[in-house]
Amino acid sequence: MDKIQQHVDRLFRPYKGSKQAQELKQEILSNLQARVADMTMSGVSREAAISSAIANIPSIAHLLDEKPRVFLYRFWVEWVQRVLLFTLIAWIVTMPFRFVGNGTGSNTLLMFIALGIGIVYGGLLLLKRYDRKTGGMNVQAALRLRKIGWLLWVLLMGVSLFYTTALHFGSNLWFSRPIHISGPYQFANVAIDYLKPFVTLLIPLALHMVPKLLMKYEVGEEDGCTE
Amino acid sequence: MAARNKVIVALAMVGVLLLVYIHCVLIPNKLERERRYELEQQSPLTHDVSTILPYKSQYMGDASNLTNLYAHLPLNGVKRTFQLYPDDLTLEINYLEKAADVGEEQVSSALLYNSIAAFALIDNLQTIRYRFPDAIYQLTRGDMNQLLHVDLAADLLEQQTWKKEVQGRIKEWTKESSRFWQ
Repeated sequence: MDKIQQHVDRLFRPYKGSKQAQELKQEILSNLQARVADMTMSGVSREAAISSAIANIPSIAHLLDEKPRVFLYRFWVEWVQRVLLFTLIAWIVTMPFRFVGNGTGSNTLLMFIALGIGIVYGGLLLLKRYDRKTGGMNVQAALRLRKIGWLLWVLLMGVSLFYTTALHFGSNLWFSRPIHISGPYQFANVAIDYLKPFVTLLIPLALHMVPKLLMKYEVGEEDGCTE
Repeated sequence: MAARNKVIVALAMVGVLLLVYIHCVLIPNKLERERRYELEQQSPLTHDVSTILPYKSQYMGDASNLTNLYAHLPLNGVKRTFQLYPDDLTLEINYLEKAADVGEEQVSSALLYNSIAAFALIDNLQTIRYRFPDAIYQLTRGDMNQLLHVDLAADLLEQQTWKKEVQGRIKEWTKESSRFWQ
């Protein structure tokens, strides 16, 4: 694949699924290829022409509508549905915590969160009459939020892993004493202490889906729309 | 969307079934096992010797070690205080309940068992005196050696040996333990 195609693919990677971006993609590609052809005709080497053309378009954020119109009801229904699905999976995966005793609170909390989201989802399904309702949603902000969500989560995991290790094995590491785990029950407790914070993975996952779904439910030219 | 709805319903059902199974079968079974184990620890015949092995010590002067050792032996439910006489290498335990109230036969077998464990684990312990409001029970290392016909060496604490040499004979010793009561 040539360098121009690679550059264009990289530019559009975050906007996979956006109708607006797909329409723009071909236009940008042809534009860049034409620019490279012009420059090589005027005596510039092909490598230099490609580099110059690529440098000219470092981002496409400014070319896209910041707040594209989106089918709001469809977006919210699918987002809530996916969050509910992930919460239910997290609830079931953490169920063995109840048997050990450590982590019962986290599992109960997940159960109530799933219940709450389930009620919201049920309520949304009853509002089907708003199926064609559209509104402007900021995709760029959603992309930024997704990035911040993952960064904060990685940071939180780092702190949590450090804290749990210090709590269980701090003195062993400090005094170079071998680590001793007396049996399966203690092992399960330590493992649960390490695993519990991973439940917060639901938050970046929920944020991750937002821009994707906004692009999926973007109103295209062929769609009629209502305010 | 519709397929995902089916998965959601299926997951919710699996979750509820799992919850019911854990709370109605697994946890009650676990609690019952724990209750049975606790009960077994009150009898010299079924006590788990491995729980007291961490309290092996050369010296009887370590009060916290002795307290912890007796917290893992039969009669640990009876309130007690400890008094050490390091000059005489003697341990005195003052129980706050009458021996008659706990049950004389149960007390006799438990005290014999606890004493063998303490002598086997604490190398320089020579005498143990158990004071109850209504009686005193005293044993020496010599008494124990006579009963067991073996030296109270550490290999006695090996699980199979302990079962055969101590737990297997505790009933018969309890019958002749009246001489230790004062």
